[in-house]
Amino acid sequence: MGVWAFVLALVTAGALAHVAIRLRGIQVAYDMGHERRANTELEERRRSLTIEIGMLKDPGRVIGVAHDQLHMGPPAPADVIKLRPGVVLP
Amino acid sequence: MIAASRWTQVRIALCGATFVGLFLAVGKRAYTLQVGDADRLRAMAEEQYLREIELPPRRGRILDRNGADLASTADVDSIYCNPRQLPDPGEAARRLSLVLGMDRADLEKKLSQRRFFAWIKRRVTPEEAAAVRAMKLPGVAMTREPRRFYPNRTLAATVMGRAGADGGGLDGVELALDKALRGTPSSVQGIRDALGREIAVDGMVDAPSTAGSDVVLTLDRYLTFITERALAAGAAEHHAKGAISIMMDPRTGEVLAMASVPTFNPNESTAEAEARNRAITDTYEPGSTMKTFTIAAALDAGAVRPDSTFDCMMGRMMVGKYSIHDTHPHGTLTVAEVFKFSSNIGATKIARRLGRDAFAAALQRFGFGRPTGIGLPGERSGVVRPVEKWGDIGFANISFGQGIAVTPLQMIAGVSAIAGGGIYRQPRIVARVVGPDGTVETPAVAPDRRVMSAAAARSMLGIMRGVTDPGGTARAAAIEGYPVAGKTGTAQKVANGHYDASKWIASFVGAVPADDPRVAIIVVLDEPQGHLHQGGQVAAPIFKEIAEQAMRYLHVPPSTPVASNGNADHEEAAAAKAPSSPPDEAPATDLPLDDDGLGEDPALAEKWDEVAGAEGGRGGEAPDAVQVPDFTGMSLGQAIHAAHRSGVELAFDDPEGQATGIALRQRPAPGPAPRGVVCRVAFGRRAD
Repeated sequence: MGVWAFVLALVTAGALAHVAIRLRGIQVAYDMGHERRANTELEERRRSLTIEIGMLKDPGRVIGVAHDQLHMGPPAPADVIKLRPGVVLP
Repeated sequence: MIAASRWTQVRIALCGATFVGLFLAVGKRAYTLQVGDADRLRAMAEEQYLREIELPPRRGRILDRNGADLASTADVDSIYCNPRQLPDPGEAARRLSLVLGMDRADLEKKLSQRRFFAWIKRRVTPEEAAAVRAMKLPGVAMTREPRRFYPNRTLAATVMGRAGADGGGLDGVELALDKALRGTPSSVQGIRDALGREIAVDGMVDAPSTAGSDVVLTLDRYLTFITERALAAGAAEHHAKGAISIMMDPRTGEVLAMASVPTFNPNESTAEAEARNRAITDTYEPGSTMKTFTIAAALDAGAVRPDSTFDCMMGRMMVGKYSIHDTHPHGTLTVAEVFKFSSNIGATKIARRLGRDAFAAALQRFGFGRPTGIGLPGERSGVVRPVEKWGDIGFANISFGQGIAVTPLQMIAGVSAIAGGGIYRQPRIVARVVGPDGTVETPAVAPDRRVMSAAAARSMLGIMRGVTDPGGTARAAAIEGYPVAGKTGTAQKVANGHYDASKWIASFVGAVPADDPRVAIIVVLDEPQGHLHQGGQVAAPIFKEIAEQAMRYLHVPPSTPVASNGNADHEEAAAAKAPSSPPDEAPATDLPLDDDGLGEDPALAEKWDEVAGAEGGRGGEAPDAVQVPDFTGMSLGQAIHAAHRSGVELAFDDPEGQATGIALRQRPAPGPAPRGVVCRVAFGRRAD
């Protein structure tokens, strides 16, 4: 009788372990789906930010800011200095 | 009693056996379901709950040669609704129309339909989406859809074209490389539970594998910008109907900038009907710019030399029953002068000496009469009639650019061949296609081919420099410090079969710097209005504007001395100001100190004055000594200036290796030092 009870307990434990593993597998699949969605959203966010960076770096805007806000302008040809031989650059 | 007890035991045993039997049966069944028939049953189940999850391909990006985004795709919100769930379509239409800027009546009609699905507005702005979400209207929901963005707005719009709402390319690069950009649609088996949550299963593919390839162009975003800006300003100033400019690297055939006016903003759904890539779709009679190829071909064939002379018959020559005129009467001119003064008669005589067939062959070698093969949709081949149909007057006309039609791209490709040492390089605008897996594909390009000897190309470039000399037709194209080789063109347009004296095509094509061309640029203005309509008057200044900025951007140092307050070389002038300058250097010239880039920082300005003042007071120092300036607080440019003035060699002691920020420390300290001393200056950000 004791042997039978032991076998029964063993089989029951095995069945429960099997179910637990299946449940865990489903949970992992849920987690993976969630992470995948998060990854997609972050990729999308990155893409949007890249576009925003592109808009901020639009030469028209940059030159507008440089000229209008920072009062910058191109150097005159005479202000361009050719370095002589011997000048050490980093 | 015993019998009863035994019967009880039998019943217990039977009961136990029954339960054991049942348990075994359940166990066997469970084994069959979970293990034995697992594969078959799993397949049966998946047929029921697995769904095809569509993975729409993400359209690839278009990048400039430096990796800057010219076109990119991102998901945005689209608003839809289930009209059956809307309790009050009229009220919903009123509220939605206010935030979405839509017609209320149209929207109400859409929302009143007895349907389960209706789009309200697709690809809305984040602000519109937020406003609609805040309304919390029943039945109104959002989904994400890809939208094409062009971050630089109108920049290179006519080259890139645009993509339609379905993601397909409609024009330009978007159309030409649509297959690569579009990617491969795919679908995977996925599971969604009752709440719509995605559950990962085996076999799901990574989304990037379905994405479109990125297309890297040879265009440079900044060069395109300066080209477009100068072109738009020039076209507006002269009220031109249209304008075109192309910048090409003659060493590689890469198109660095391609601009057309009018243009459009591809982010907006409405486009100007006239907006197109005129650089490849429009043909024009080139006028005098064609003399470049007439003379180049004659030089290459050895028919003429730059100093060969021709009688230009004081501006009038008969060809059969037709007469050819020059704008200004000239007598005998050398080949170089024929080009410089743009004599039609001289060009005709040079072409005659070369010979009709040889000239026709040269035009073909330079790529006229057929598309360049740049790979953009809509490229025209131009018109070059068969040589046997030219006739005497036709031959003469073609030698100075009439009776022939070319595209601006053909013209710049031909001039690039001359600027590139006589080698024709097929114009390229697509540098490479980078697949989602990182594979790089370079579009096939026709092999480079020699169209004239290097010596003849050099001679031709020398002749082309004359147009910006005094008396030349394009003084307005001259750039201080950079010799320009070019040619103006002014041609009347044909209307109703005759040349119309009120409609002109003005152009300038050239290369700079002429001694080692880095860029070749063409500028064409279509129907400039007003009293200025000649290439040298309207197109040459635009060329100058573009080329001058391009040289600066490309860090091309001036190859001829730059005048500064006295026609002295700046560098020599700076050296002469230093007391250590040897006596045989150029005389000193005062440098303007009111534009020293010091901004409004009085401390720095004071420091600068101090340095300048110190230099001025060093006259009594020993000739083998120099005065080391105090560099601290100066920017890199200011430090270089100061070092130049004092004759001190600079070395940058910058831990970041970039010499950014301001000078923090120096060694040796300010003061007298032996000639040849190297001053190490550390740059960086101030701690405060």
